[in-house]
Amino acid sequence: MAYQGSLSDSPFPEVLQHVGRTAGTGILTLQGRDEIIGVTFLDGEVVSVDAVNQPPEDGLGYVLAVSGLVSREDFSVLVAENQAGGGRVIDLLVERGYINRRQLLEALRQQTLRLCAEACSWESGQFRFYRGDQVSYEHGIEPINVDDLLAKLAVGPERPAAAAVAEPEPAASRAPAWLTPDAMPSPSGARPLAAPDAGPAVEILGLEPRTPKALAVEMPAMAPPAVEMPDPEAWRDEDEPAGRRRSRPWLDVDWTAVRAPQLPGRLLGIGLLVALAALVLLAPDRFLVPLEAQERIRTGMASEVLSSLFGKVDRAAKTYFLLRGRFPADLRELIALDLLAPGDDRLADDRRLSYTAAPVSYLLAIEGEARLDASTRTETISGNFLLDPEFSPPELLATPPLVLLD
Amino acid sequence: MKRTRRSVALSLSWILVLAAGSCLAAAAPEDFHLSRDTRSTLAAIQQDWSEWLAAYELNDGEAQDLALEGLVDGAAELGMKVLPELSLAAAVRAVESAGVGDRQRALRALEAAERLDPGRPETSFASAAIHRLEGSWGRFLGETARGYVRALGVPAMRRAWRHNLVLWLLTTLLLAGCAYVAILMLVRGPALVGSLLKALRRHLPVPVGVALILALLVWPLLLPARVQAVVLNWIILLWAYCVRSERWVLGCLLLAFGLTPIVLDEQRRQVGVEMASPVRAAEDARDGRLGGTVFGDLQRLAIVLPDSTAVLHLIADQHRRMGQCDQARGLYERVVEREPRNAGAWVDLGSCRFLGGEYGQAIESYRRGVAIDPDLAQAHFNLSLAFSELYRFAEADLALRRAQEIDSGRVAAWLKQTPRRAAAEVAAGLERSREIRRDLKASWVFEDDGAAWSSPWRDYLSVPLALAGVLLAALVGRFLPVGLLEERASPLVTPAAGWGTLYRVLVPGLPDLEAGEPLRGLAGLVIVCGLLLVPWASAYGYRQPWGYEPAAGLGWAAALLGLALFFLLRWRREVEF
Repeated sequence: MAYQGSLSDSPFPEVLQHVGRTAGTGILTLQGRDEIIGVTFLDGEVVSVDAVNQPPEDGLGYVLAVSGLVSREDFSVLVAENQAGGGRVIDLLVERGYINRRQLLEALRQQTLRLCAEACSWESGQFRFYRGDQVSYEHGIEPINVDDLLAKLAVGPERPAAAAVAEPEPAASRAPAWLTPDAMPSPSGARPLAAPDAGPAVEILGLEPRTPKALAVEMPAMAPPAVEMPDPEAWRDEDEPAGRRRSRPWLDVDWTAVRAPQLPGRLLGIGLLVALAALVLLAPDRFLVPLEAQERIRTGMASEVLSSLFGKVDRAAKTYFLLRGRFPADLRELIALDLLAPGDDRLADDRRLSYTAAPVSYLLAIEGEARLDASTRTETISGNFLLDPEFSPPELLATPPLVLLD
Repeated sequence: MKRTRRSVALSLSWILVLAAGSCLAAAAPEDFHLSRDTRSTLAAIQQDWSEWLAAYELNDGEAQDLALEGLVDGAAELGMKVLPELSLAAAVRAVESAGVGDRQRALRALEAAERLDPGRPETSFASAAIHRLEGSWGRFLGETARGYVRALGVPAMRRAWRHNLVLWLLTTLLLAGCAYVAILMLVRGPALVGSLLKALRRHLPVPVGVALILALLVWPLLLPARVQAVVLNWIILLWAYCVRSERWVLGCLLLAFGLTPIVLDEQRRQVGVEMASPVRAAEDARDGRLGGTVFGDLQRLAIVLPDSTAVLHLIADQHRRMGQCDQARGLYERVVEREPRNAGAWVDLGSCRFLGGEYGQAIESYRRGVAIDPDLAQAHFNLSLAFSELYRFAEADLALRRAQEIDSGRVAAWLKQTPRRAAAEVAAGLERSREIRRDLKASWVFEDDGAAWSSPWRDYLSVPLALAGVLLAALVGRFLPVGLLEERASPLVTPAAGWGTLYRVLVPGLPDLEAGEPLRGLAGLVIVCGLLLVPWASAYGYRQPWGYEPAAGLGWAAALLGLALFFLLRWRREVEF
């Protein structure tokens, strides 16, 4: 069973420590009031953290901007290009020479600390740890020990020197004061729309960016966010052209297309389950030996099952003969005497047995399939010394005893 | 047409064997001739049974006891211990009497059944039926349980259970494996479909892409092995989206599919041999069960395996037990001719000679036995008897002391149980039923494989196919374009609470796969599938060779109880978390 529970019972630092102690590998999902955060663990150490509903500009874009490495505008352009051409934004950042690999890893580390700090502020919500054999994370990233992480969180994240750029307020609106620089215009309570490139944990979890409606449908336990629809550009420059805003790729996501694949996959899974049940019930031999080339095995097996049934009927019929001096007129007589089970007059595929009794013999076959092979059997009392009066003629008993005169 | 021809071919050999057996039974072959004394004893048993039935109808207890004694003594005269068919008939009579409220007669019949074949499971099942009719449910359950325990002690029933257990396990594993793939499609399917659609969307309209993906997923339905082909196809497609432990499970499932037909083929050959009446007769002879057709079946055994020394030895032992030493002697001589190092056969040959008054030859046979196996107590004991008959008391005393040194307990028993100084038997031939089964199976395999329609590569085809499936899945996973793997992820299929809780409880495997614990998920599916298949197994598998049915519905009861317990535990754990 997965490690899961409520953040009100087990605060986030406690959950972190637990996963760290158990050296877990997998993804810890935190479901807050209006945000989902995924913390990726590798052997009990944190390797990445991502927020599902946070667009890259609010996440990595913010960290890079406050570090003075990439401007907001440049980052937005890169995101737009990325949407058109595929791949990952972070690769594009390095390829275009905005930052080098080391800076990228450091920015990701900052992002991790920032999101962990945000999660620490949550007082309610649910968590669940999805254990796995392997997790996906950025190559080269240095895993963060949970104790180190908690120590850093206790003193606040390592903030970039240049804090000229406003930081978006966490969705829960309960972030510590050090997370919200005074200079930053806050989108108070606003819940940003998700971007399709939401980060590695999103990919690993398959957490598609969702509209609030989608969240409400998928997670009924959650109270619907009592906030306005978001304004993702709230912290951006006021003078940014409106047309450009509309062309932003995360606003142009075809949500229907993204969510639609869930249904066929599930329907197919359910369809297979139904087909399996039907196959096992209706043609069990074909389930176990499906290939046509192996028909000999299937036929041989069915033949032996039939033989075992015939043997049982024979035993029952001859017991009946011992008691009544005749074979039963119908197999139901044997079932009534508990000599046969209720289902012993038919095969697993529901073909019935045909039984015809004669005074000293009976014929057993599959109904409508009587033929000269093992599927048809005739049994008599001949050769059975208990049933056949001619096996030991009466004169044997009438033999006078030998009398010794001496 | 082809199938019919195969069926005919498959069974033809047995029909010929049985037909030959019947003809030769009529002609009374030399291998199993019944002496006049033996036939007289058999006729007496038949008559005693008729008298028991008549006395039962008349409710004459004394006559019943007399007839019962006659039956038991008759079997003992033939060297047999029990009369299983008569015991079964008496048990049925007991339940019939209980059905009309005649408890006294029912119990009397039940006692007779127990006397005719002590420890028989059918007697316990009949007793359980009587308690059920009386409304004593505790005793009913107790006797039913006792019946099952007794059944475990009967080799034929134990074997049938073992075969059905294998069948049930294989079906459970495969069904659980397929269900695992289906649930994997529930969990990973959206990522698979999503990534494929993402790739196709660049070139095709979405509806066309969806149609193509659907076709890709279900096209194997056009193949002969529809469902399994779909499962194989999904394994290949989902492989890239699975974590390592999930891939292990999928790989093992494919191998299980590949190996199952081979296991079942081997099993059905074993079952065919074990169920053959000659083999059953050999076991009946070993255990001293006097069945109505035991002699005819032993005769068929000699026809089926004419060159088997084990069969000769067994039949010789049976003749000797029945006091037909003339027949036994000839057979023993053939056995020692083929197996000169068979000490048991030498000793029992010596006993036949001893009973025929040929003490010198008997001593010679016993000495051959002692030379081969110096620790064979029977040989020394019988040697002492033969020496005594020839008034060579010093040698007799020496041989007896040697026998006592080897096994004083058994020697004391022989001295006590043989007041007329009858020879002690080795009866090693009666213990050769396993060897006979093996010989019979070997000859059957030969006939099958020699048939024109049989080809081994077809039988083993599933194995290379399974391996190819694993390889193909690995290759597809390895070389799948990176773009398609962008969504290799486990989506949150179910919500954390509410109906999601119910869903996770009722759909085993799903929460574990979501949580990245595939083995635990598979275990849950195996438990559920196994329990669901318990009632099915009795209808589908090989029939238990018992003569009286235990109460119906026990399989269902066990399955429902197990499932209730399983889901209750799941519910508790889910709620606790």
